[in-house]
Amino acid sequence: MSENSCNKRECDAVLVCDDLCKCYGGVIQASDHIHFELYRGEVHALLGENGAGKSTLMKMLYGIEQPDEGKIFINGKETALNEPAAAIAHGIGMVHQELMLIPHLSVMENIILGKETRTRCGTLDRRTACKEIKELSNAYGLELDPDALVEKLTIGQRQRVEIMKLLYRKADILIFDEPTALLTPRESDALFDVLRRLKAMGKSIVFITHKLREVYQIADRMTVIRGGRIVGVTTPQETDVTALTYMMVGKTVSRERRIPHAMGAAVVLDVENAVVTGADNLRLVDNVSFSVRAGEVLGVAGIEGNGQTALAQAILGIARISQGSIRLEGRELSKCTTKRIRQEGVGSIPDDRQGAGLILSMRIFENMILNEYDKKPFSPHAIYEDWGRVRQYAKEKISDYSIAAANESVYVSSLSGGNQQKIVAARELTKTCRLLIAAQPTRGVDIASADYIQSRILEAAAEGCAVVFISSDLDELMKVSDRIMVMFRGKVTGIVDGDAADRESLGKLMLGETDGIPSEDRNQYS
Amino acid sequence: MKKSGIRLSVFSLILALLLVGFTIAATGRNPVSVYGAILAGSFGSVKGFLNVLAYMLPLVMTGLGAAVAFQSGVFNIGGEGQVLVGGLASVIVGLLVPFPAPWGYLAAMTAGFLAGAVWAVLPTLIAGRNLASLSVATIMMNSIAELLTEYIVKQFFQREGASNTETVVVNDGCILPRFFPSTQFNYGIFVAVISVLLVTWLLYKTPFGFSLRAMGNNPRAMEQAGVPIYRRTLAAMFISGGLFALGGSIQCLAVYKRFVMGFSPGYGWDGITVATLAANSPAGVLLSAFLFGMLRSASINMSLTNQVTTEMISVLQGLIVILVASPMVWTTMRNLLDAAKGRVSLLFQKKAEVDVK
Repeated sequence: MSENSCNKRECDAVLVCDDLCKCYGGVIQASDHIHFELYRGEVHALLGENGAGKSTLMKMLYGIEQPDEGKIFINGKETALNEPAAAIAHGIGMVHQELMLIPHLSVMENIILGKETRTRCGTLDRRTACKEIKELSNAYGLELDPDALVEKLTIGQRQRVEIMKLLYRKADILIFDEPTALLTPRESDALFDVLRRLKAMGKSIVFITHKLREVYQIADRMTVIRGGRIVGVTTPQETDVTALTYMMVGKTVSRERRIPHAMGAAVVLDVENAVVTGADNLRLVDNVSFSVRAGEVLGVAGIEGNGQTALAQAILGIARISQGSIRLEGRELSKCTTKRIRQEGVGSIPDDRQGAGLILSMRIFENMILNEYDKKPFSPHAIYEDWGRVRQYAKEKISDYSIAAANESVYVSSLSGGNQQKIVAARELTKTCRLLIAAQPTRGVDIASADYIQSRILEAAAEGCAVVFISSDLDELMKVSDRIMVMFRGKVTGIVDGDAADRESLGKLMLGETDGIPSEDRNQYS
Repeated sequence: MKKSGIRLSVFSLILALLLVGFTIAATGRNPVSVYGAILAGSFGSVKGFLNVLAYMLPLVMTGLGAAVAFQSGVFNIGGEGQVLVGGLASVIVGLLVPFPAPWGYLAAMTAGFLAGAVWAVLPTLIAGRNLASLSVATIMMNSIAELLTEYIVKQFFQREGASNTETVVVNDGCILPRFFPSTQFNYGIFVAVISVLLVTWLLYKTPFGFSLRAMGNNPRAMEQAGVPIYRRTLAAMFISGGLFALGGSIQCLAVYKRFVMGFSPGYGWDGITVATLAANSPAGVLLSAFLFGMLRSASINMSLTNQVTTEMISVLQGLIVILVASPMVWTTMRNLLDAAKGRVSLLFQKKAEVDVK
């Protein structure tokens, strides 16, 4: 890049953060002299692991947090962003990871909420609002029906509503916080098209992510953050995936597919025609059949909310199947209590880590024994809990799983997502575990911890544990699974061999299009 | 009890005392002398102190009842009804059973415990697994208990010639003895202390207690772990209801020696307050029940000496609870303090800069 163009670009910087510092509790330097520049009309990826300081930076840009030191310039003018309203007034808008929409209101109502157009009588001017929204959606190619109820929309469509909300407020700088986390591959591609169009219309986009693939698809430039510091500013052309991973994590991480190992012959889990019925007689799990052998990792792919959670709960006996059977090594489980199923050696990493996997308001050692608090050696007899023994056990697990915690009495709420998940994994992967149901075990977990948790799960599989690995991250599934089962609306749309799986055909199966795989494959499993 | 819990309670207590102090001052009286009178009334004489202990006893029991329920994440708001039912059951046994002391009053207390426990389990069975409807169901059981006890007393046990709804005095062996005839302080203190020890041991030293506390903190995690949540809820309600009821039993068997309609000025409700101030710790319940005993004792003496209305004590109690139950007050105060500190240091900085110039 020549001197000249560089200078030209400097002038074009719509947003400059100069030396931003932010400390939490006087100790943790969440943002350490961060210098960040966003040019007009670019998609700028902000890369970093969980806890690297991406969100802190974004919170400062969006006025949720104020920097301790440093300045923010918007269009060359120094600006103080004290609250989100100030950020919006300066043309900064944010699409949060969890979409902030009101399901019972229409698309139009959601968009204008907080910036309503009024008629002369002071009532809501729906007609003008609808017209403006239609104009916007034509200009940016965002197809939306202003009168549709948000609750009826897909996640991808809801995200468009969020984007429209920002455009309606005349935002020029759009911040996307992990926007593809809940999208299917196809929806992600559609989103990227929208981003490109926004870019072409002169909007500047900050794209927060930890998925490297996406960076190469969409980003013009990227800034990598680690430990609150900028590690580097680069472009996709200059840096390859390995180098980028190294920048993010600070060490090399294997992204290779695992080496296949010998599987046992014995079928551990055998699910046959299982049906779980939810509210409104909706079939959450619809006639699902599959089996997992000892040492096998069965990946379960699918957009979230397509029956994976219900299936996991059915195996654990938390949800009941109304038809079919679930057998563990030949014995029927579907009539057993959860306690009994657990005793049979079924481990579970639930997808809602903080809601169902841990007790955040309790200490590490207490969280380590949730399954076994009433068993020997922790409880030598029914009226005595041997806390000394429990603490000792927790200490061993902490060092075994290299959990970053001062000691075993630390409250779990104070740990990072990665360390929290390691506690769940350490608790569930005991020696007696014969079947592990791992649901989204690496979601919201930093790369190093995710890698570690994956490897521990694979280790357990190598020792003969059957694993059902539920994930919405296809890359992860293709890395760890022997076979991948795809679920759509509670049904199994296909089971493919891990070696033969590719993103495209899995993506099609995730949307219920079964013609994506060879027909003999389907016959074999259906 | 977590450290933050202790800090919050002490802070709320001090803030409440200050606020009520201002109110007293605004009505033209000296808050220092009022608070002095409360302390003097409680610690100034042996009799006064024993009276405070006597007022404390039912509150310890109901406080423990609430603490067990809250630690298990079960909202038992039916304490008042359980107190009434427990009191009546104890008195009925006391009227019918001819055992000598201590068997008489032990039998009566046991009956009280069981009656309260059943009275608490009943709405749990009706409400089923829905915790939200459980609190509504328990609260409704209060009114039922009030009218039911009145009906039973009037119908079967009404003392001839009494203007109140009340029973005759229970058999001698069933009266819970007082230590000194001149004060109401009674053997209930043994029940209270043993209950505190037992509940502490149950919650913190047994696997069962751990499962209750863990359920209270996150029932879904325990469901995942295979703990039968509904059975634990029933168990927590059983214990909680029994403890609430013992508060009524002590009051009926030791203080009134009979069942008098309206004997409870709201022990069941105060138990929730006591437990809240104690951050649901059994040992803390002992302390906060003592404090509330002091206030109750003072509210009876106060109006005579300082002419501060007894309502002022209720205001103080209410304020304490509002403050404890509103952690935001604590954060807001700290933020204000920090802001003030920042402004002061800025002022000094500017002054220093000016000085340098």
